[in-house]
Amino acid sequence: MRFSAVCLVSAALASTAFAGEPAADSVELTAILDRMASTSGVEAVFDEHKELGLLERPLASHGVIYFVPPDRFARFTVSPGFSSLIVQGDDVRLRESRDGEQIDLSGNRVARVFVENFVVLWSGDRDRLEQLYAPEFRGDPAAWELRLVPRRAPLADVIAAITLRGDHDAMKEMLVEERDGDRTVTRFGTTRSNRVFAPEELEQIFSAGEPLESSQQER
Amino acid sequence: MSRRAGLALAAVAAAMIAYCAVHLRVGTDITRFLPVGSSSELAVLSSRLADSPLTRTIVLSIGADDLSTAVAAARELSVALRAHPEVAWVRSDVDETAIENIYQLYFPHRLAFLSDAPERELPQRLTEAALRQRAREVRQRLTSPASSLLERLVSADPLGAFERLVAGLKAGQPALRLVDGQLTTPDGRYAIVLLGTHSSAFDSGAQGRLLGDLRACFDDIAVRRGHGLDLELSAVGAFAVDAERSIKADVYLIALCSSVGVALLFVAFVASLRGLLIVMIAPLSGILVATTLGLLVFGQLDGLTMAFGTSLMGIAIDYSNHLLIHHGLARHRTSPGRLAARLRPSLTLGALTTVASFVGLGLTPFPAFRQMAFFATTGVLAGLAASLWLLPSLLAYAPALPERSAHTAARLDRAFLRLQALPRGLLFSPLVLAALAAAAIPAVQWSDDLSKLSHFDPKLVAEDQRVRERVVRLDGSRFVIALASDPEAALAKNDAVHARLEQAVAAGALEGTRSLHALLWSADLQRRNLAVLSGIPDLYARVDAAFAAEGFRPGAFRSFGETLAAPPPPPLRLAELQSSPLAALLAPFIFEFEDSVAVVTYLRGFRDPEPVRAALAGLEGVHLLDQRSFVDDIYREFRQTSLRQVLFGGGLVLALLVLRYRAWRPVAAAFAPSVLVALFVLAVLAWLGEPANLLHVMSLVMVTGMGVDYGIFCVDSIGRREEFGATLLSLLLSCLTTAFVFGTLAFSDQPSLRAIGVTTGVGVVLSYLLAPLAVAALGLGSRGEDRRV
Repeated sequence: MRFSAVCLVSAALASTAFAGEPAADSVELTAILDRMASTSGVEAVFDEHKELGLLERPLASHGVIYFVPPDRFARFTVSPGFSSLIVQGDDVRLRESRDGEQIDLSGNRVARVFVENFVVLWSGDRDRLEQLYAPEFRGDPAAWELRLVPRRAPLADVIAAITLRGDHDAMKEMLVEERDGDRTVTRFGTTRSNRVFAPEELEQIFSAGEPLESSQQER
Repeated sequence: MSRRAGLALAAVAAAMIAYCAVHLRVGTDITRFLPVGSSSELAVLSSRLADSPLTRTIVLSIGADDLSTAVAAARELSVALRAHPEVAWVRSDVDETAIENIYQLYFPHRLAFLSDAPERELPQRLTEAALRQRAREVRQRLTSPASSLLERLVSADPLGAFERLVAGLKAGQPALRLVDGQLTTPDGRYAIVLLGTHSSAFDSGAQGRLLGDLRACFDDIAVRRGHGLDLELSAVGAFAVDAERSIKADVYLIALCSSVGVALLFVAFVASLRGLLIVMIAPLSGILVATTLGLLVFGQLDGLTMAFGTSLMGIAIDYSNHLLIHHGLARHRTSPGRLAARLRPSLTLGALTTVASFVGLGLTPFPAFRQMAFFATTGVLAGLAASLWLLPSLLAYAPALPERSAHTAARLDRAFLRLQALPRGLLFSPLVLAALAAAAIPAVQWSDDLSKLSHFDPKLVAEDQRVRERVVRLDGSRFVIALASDPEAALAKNDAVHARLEQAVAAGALEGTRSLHALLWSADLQRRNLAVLSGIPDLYARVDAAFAAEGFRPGAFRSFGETLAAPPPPPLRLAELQSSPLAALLAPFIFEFEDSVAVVTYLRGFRDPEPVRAALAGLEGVHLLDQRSFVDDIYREFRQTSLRQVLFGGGLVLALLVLRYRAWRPVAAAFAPSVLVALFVLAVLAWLGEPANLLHVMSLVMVTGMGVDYGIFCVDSIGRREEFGATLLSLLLSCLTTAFVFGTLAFSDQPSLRAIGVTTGVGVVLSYLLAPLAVAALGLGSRGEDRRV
């Protein structure tokens, strides 16, 4: 097998991560990054379609993401089954079912690279972003598209490109294209881009590892 | 003694002192208290496990007001520790190559690690229904963020063999998190650093230096960084260091107090520094010779041996004391040489009976107690030799004894005369007491709990427990050991052990295990897995159809089919793992043991040994080792052996006395005090409800030897009426010096030393009172009795 486990983990993480992305040499990109950097928090429900080489038909799932500056991120899939990815600094934890064991990916160098990428994106550190990806920005604030091509292995070995689409402040869609032809399209529904989380909400999301009830009711 | 001989002796003594100064090392190695040459291989295994990579591992837990400070301090401390010569390895983060190494090593062998019971389990797991269930689970998991990982794994491993393998490996590791590249506790409150030492955990010298440097380094970091930084650690070596510190402190205290006590007594009854120095030559010679020979023979001396050694002064001083007092009170009537020649039979017999009482200890299989017997025997004989051959030359320089000594001797003699005048029935009253004491002895509570013989700083114990709970909850003293003639057979036994223990876990007898089985299975079990798979020729088609029925693309598992069609790789062998980057993971689990290979399984949540023992029943060469109860059992055996040795030593002493006196009354008078003392001491322990332990027994060995000495001195001098007072005075001095020495032991922090102190202190006083009483009761020295016994 060509891919090592490390590479595979990185690929898995990359497919989830880029819920909003950076830029080319444009004022619009800078504006988008600045807005991302200044957010108090993000909550967004999503529908995801995965076109995998293994499967006859795309695999549909539904879930919610949360971002809390500067470095906390959670992604919950709630249907058809439960899964969670929780990132707090370098701490990366994955759970594949509601009663499943948490898998600690913190010791994975690639996972940490991913986390750094993600934080860089939301902190609006354009220099760092451009070190990691070759960005290509199209459109205007009303309808923009940012295509990111990983510059270095191991991400570049697995991910061909990540394309983010949005309007104004909101991320609408993310497309992850893998080198083996797999594609994942994530469409964001209701998005609260200046969400302020209460302490008990943070506790539920990042400690208990459960999505908020309110998020699950939205679609 | 000629001047030349004196100089030669002084040179030898100086050489011995220099040798001891350079080589003296006090050991606290618990393995020295385990029997050697025992028929039980478990004893040696236990000893081996006591010095394993597990016991050489130190866990550091660093706390602070905030985790980031603790993490930064841990990182700085790790860098410093890596440069320390005593540190073999430091682990403060996750080995980033570990996952890669596991993948490279295990993935080609994944199908050989499918099931512990392939013939039973695999047919069930490979039915159409089971495969479709597996396909549904995989499909659902593909919605997770790790779907890309899973997709690639599943295409080559739809049965999930590698996933199970990794899960097993992970389950055996401590549940630590990584924060900013640093290991932390799962609750994120403490930064954790693990390190291994080159030296044994029981090498208190090396451990003490490392722990000292470690704390100094951390203190420096804490002062610079502040923010409430605090270091706690769990290390077997810390207990060894604490025990050595405590024992050393006791030894110094005992040496100081006994010296002061002895000095005060001699000021009172000898009243001359010169006299004191002359008397001290015999015990000091004994200790010097015993220490030198002990170091030459054993390399190092145990803490208890050293404590015993300093106490030896109380025995060896008896001989020189006896000579000095007799010489001092009869200096105008006989020369020192003649006096020594006359007292030689008594002193020699006294020394030989003392040695005889220690011979039993030397015959036990416990290295530490053999060492004590060696130390005591050589010390007593060297003290005797010094008394007989050195002291006569020096006694000429001893000043006259003060008047109070002569008066005291006279008073003691008069007291003895009054004693003789008492009705014979009254004199035999101790026998009635002895009968009562003998009746009380069955009520003695014997304690064989080894942990109660040692006293550790409660703060250290609590700290150790806190740190262990933060990191790993394995019970470090309970193991299952599988022994076999070669690695493959040992692995096969370990497979069986794992299967049985899994049942015990399922039944709630255990919380879990940490086993080599997570890393390696026997070649036979691996082949059996492959054989079951190859026995299903349509396996690939069956898997492909089951997965296709659940929405997977037909042919998506082609690489799995190719793997099945290709010849399987040879089984993964121990040698392959040992030469891989994962070799370090094997170290705590497998080692060569004499001509066998031992595989260890560590137990967690062990409560009752019986269900675990029952689960392992019938597995040949497999042992459940509950080290604590095992060692306690050994001590019970040793105590019982020691009691038999007391009787054996008593028999030897009796034989020596019969050989010397050839008459029952002097034999009885010399021997009775020691027997009565043993009975009374045990009866007192029973009456007080104080549990008696091994060291009480050992102390009895010593005290009975001293009791016989007193009896012999009394019997031998009763024939010279004019000297009996001197004998009583010399014995009083000996008794009081011994009581001083052992009295200080009674104040030791160590329960073991306390037991020795109380038993011996009380016993020696009783011996002093009973020796003249026995002489009087048996009518020795009375009118009509042969005055030359």
